[in-house]
Amino acid sequence: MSSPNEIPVGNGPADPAVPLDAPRRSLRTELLIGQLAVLAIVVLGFGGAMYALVRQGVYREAESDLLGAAQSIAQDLGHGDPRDDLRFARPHGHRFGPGPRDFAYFAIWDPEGHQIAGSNPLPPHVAPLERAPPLHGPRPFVVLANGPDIELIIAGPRNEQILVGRPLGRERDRLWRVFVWLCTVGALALGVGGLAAWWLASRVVRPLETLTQTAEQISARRLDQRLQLEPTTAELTRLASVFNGMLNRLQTAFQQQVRFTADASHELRTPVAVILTQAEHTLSRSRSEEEYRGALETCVRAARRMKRLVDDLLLLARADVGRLEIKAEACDLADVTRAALAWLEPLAAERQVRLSSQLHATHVLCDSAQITQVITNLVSNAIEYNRAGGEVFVTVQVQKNRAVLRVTDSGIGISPADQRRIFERFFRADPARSHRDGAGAGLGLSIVAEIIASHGGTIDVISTAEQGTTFTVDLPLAQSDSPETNSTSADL
Amino acid sequence: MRVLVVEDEPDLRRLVAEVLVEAEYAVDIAADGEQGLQKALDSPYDAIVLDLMLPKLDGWKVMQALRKVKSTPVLILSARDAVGDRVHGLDLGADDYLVKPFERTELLARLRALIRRAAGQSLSQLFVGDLQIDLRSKQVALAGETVALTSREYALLEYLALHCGRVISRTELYDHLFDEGDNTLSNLLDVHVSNLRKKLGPELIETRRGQGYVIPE
Repeated sequence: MSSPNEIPVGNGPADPAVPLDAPRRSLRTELLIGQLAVLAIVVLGFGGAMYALVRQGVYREAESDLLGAAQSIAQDLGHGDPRDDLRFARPHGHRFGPGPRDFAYFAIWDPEGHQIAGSNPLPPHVAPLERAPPLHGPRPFVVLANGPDIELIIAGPRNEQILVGRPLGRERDRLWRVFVWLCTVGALALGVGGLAAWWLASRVVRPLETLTQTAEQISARRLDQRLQLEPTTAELTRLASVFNGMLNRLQTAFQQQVRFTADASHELRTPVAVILTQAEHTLSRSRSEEEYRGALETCVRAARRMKRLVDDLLLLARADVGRLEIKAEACDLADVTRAALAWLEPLAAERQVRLSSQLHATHVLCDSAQITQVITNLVSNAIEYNRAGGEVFVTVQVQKNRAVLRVTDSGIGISPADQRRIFERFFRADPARSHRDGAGAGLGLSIVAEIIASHGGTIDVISTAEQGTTFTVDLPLAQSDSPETNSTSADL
Repeated sequence: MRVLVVEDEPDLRRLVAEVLVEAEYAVDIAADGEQGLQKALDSPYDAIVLDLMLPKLDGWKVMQALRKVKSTPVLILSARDAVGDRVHGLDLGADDYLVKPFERTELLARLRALIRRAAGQSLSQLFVGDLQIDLRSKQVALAGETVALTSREYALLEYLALHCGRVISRTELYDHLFDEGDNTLSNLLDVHVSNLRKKLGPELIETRRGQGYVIPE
């Protein structure tokens, strides 16, 4: 019987690592082998114990028979001198068995060791004991096993040694029958147990096979499929529900990916259409130099839009796989902000928006190019979604041991429903602004969120319709930074 | 032929308009859905080129509102290429669907076909007596010989020939041949008609006093 823990041996010690797809014993076989092994141990133990008990009983019985015969001889001796016609009493003869192989014998020795009586023939090994057998105690006799024979010696009435012996043929036959019977019952029990184990293993394995088959049918194109399982066991129901939950998340992610790709290609289509149409239109006949110049300018504009879009998509794709590279260096967030604001001033002037700021030295570890992009995106949004004569106020300061950048505008605000979605890719609260000059494809805030997240920061938005919006960016301070008091306040 | 272009992307709007103008259409433009719908309802266009992703009122809503009142042929020109979008657009009453980026020649061919079908014509060549008009190359031949026409003359002839047998009022002709930017003189139409008669024979176009012009079947 092989143990359930036995691992199938390969072609030698040469392949220690079994590949995952190597065929292994099925769960059904594993369960079957395990259950059969346990059952076999139980049957063997039970059968062995039973056999031992029966054997002991049989031997005791044989002993007591011999003892009876020996005592009856001792009684006969007590009545007088040993006689030549000393025989086993009839009942004993019956019990010992009638056949020649059951031939029982006896011998009597006087205390000096001289034989005074005995059966004829006597087996050659028969001899008196050197020490007399005990007269009292729980076992007032000595038992000798001699080959197939059992011999018992007791003390006679005048300290003679009386030996009675016989071969154990009948007992061996009985024990053999018991043994065969135990083996038959054991084998039967193993057989029935094996069938039961097979049935049980099948019951366990069948729902698993159903699960596997269903799972195999689920592919990227058919992610809407779910595992349908009649409630069998808690574990399997849980497995199915965990699997279905995973499928739900996978489907959502997949749908997001599909939508993202569709949105990206949609955003790319318009500039491509501009370039293609402009080129075809211009080439359809000969044009003046001015017309060619205008056509090329249109193409450049469209190509720039595509470039920006592709750059943004690349940045987001890198962020998605966690490979947004940050060239972290110690810098003053106030300086970075000041530079970005100076660059945005012309846009604010064009939109008639007042851009002001209050910047305190705040030392952070950051990629200044990326943080500049964050500030540019936030502030240009604040200018873009503002009204003429509106205001944009930018602050940088240390708060609660964090670097905090705030961009507040007095613009049109963002509705609560949209506030949850503004960080989604390609989300635009107002499609009317989709093609304004400088307006992106709806990726700006997604990029801001990704950059902030990769810097270990957070971004929050508070907005009231028709009142304005405040974006709060929160970044970790550089380690050595202590809150500085020599604040540099500037009003751009 | 007068066409309305509704497109929010400024470069593309200008370009489509330029392409159509060079193909001798009278072109009006609109930058958003509201403006587009207003113009489409106000003027009798021969066809409308409509984007779907429009500010204020999207293309589907424009289609819905327009179809309640008018059956002007509509060509949807959109970056949305999903089958669902096309089906939805066509189900709402659009006559054709073209995905950006598009080939200039395909846009023109589809537009020609739309206008032709709307006038009940399925061929791209018209025959009136021994006059042959090729709508594709905009060539006119009389008894097998090519006749040179100015673009306005051709447009006038094409419109009358497409609606052969129907009396077309002067107002309708003005509406279909000149865009909203044209400040046309009222007698310009008479000049074009008289030029056509000189080139193609006096019997081709009949004048119905007080009603308009007709090319009899």
